[in-house]
Amino acid sequence: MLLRNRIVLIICLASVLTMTAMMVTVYQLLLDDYEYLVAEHESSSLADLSHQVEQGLQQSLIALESVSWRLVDSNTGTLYPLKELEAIMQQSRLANDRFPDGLLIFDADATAIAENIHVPGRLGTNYADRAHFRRLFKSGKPIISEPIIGRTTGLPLLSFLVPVLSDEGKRLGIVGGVIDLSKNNILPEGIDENWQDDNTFLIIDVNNRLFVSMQQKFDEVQPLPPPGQNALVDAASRNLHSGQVTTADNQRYVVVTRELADLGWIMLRAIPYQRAIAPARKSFANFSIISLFIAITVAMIGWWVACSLTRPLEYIAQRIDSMADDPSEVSILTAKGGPEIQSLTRAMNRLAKERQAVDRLKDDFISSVSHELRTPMTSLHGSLKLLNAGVTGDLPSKARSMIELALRNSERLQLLVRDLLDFNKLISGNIVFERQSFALSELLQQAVNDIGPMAAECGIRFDIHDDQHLGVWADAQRLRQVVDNLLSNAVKHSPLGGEVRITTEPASPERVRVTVSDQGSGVPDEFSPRIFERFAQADRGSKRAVTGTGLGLAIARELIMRMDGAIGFYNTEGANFWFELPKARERQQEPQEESTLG
Amino acid sequence: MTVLQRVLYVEDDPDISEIAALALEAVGGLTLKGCESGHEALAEVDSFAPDLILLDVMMPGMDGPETLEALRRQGSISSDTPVVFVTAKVHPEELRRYREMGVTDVISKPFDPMTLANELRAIWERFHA
Repeated sequence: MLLRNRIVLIICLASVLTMTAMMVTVYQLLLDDYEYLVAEHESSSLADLSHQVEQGLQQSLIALESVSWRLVDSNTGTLYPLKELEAIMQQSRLANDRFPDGLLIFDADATAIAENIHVPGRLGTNYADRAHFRRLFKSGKPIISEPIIGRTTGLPLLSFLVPVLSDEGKRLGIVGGVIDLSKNNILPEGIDENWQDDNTFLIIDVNNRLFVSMQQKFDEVQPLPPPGQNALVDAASRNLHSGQVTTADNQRYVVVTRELADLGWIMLRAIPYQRAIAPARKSFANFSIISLFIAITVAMIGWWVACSLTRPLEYIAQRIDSMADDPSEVSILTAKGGPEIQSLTRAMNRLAKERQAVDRLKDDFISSVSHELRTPMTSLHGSLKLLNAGVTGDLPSKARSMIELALRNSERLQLLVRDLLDFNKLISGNIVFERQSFALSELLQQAVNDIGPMAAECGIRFDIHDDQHLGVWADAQRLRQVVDNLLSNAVKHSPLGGEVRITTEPASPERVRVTVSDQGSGVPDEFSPRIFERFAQADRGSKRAVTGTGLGLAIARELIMRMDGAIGFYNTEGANFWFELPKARERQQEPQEESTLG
Repeated sequence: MTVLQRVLYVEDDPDISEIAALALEAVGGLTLKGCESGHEALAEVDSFAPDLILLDVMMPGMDGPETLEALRRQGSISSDTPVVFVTAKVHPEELRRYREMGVTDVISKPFDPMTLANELRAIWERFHA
């Protein structure tokens, strides 16, 4: 996998993981927060509501108190007579408003002595045994009774009691007021309309185990279901301040409750969980979209970073490749990008410069070696040639053969030096090919002519088959080098009086093949795989075969390859060496005269 | 057209000078004046009056091209005196450089002493053709 893609993948994975982790966390936090907020909000509304209710109750109590003060005759320090008491009761407008279901006056022992609305059997009844009267006796202060369930209506009644006190603080009587909840509502008007919906609002009377209200209306008083049947009722009974409740039908609610201390009632608000957290869901959806956008941005930035990281690397690799392909090419790069890339560029430039220096050194070295070897060889070879030619006078026959031997080897040495230098130049890429189109016939004829004297010694004949007068596109001088090499190999390996055939033929519409065939023993099988390698010479079969340098075919192959050709061989009766070159190009049909001089 | 007869050869290697002397005088029948350095050549050239000058390229002190330059400055080379470099360095680039200096031809080392005189005659003839 590309480094770039790996980096991008890592960045994407990392960002996706981070996003996911963040989103899970955030979602949970968001839900919790929302739940908390909703509960807080509801709780405070409920607190307001209960406050209003309690305030209302207190105001009723105060109205009753104001009646109580007017019942005492300040002159006698006792209650007014009954008639006057009834009159005062009738005149107290505020109290009448507050207690439309009746005002009562009791004596100090809680026996009813006056009422403004006649209810049979009430006057003369002693209520001292009732719980709220006992509470009054005990505390001596105004009280509001807990709801009393009406015997006939089955609806709760609220009884308010205020003691009538003398100046000395002695209880002279009791004023009472009654609110029948089936007729009069103690809840403030206009409770948030939302409460009417599937949000649930309950007021329950824990002590009496009654639903006081399912909504704010007080006309549906029912007994509470037994514990465990209605989770909301259970939550209210437990006086759960706020929390989550799951009902039997698997509905989740956010629940807040509030106690109306005076009445011992509990108000409960329950909001379906899904509705409570709906805004959180919406926020979360927004958050997800933003996250996705960020993830895409991060991925794109990652891609860009990865590209800008790897692009210089690819470029440098490309330069190194092209330098490896073409040894003469040296590219110095400008260091840019990150520090690591820059140091890579610098290192690579150093390498390139060093290679340049090494190349120069090698060229100089080859040049010097060439000179240093050839100078003594000039003297050596020259003097041997002169001796051999008899310039210095006749030599004894034994000395002559020794001189011939020395001369032969000196020639071989010369060829070796030439081939070594050639090969070095070739592989270091220092040879420039000047390719042109020309006909093969003249080049082949000239090569045959030049090798003629050597071949004639062994009675070897040449036979050129170039019926189609084919032309090639190549460097004539270099091609001549190849042909010379193949011809001299053929001569060396031919039997005495043998024939060397040179054949030209089209190898394909685009290529020309030249084959040099001898009548020798062919290339030994064990030698054939490495015949074109350096210093790969076959077993020295004949004396003539010894004179090779072992570089000829390696050079020939290199030269042919550089001219986009191919080279090879096969054995028939003898060895057949062939090479192929691109065909001569149409517009340059004319053979170059100089090209055959090489 | 006269015949090539007098050759001045500037060569620092005495062994090669000796071979050249045999090759040109004994084998080729030419008259040879050998000089060991460019300075010697500058001193001898006028009195010897060569038909052709052979210059070794690599010599200590004054090398072949410098000697050629000095000879020209001294006015010792007439336009009909061919100058031939003898060198072991036959890199195509160097050959081109020599030709740009106006030398008539370049003979590469090692040369064949048996054919050297004939080679010089051929150059002489081409030069005067």
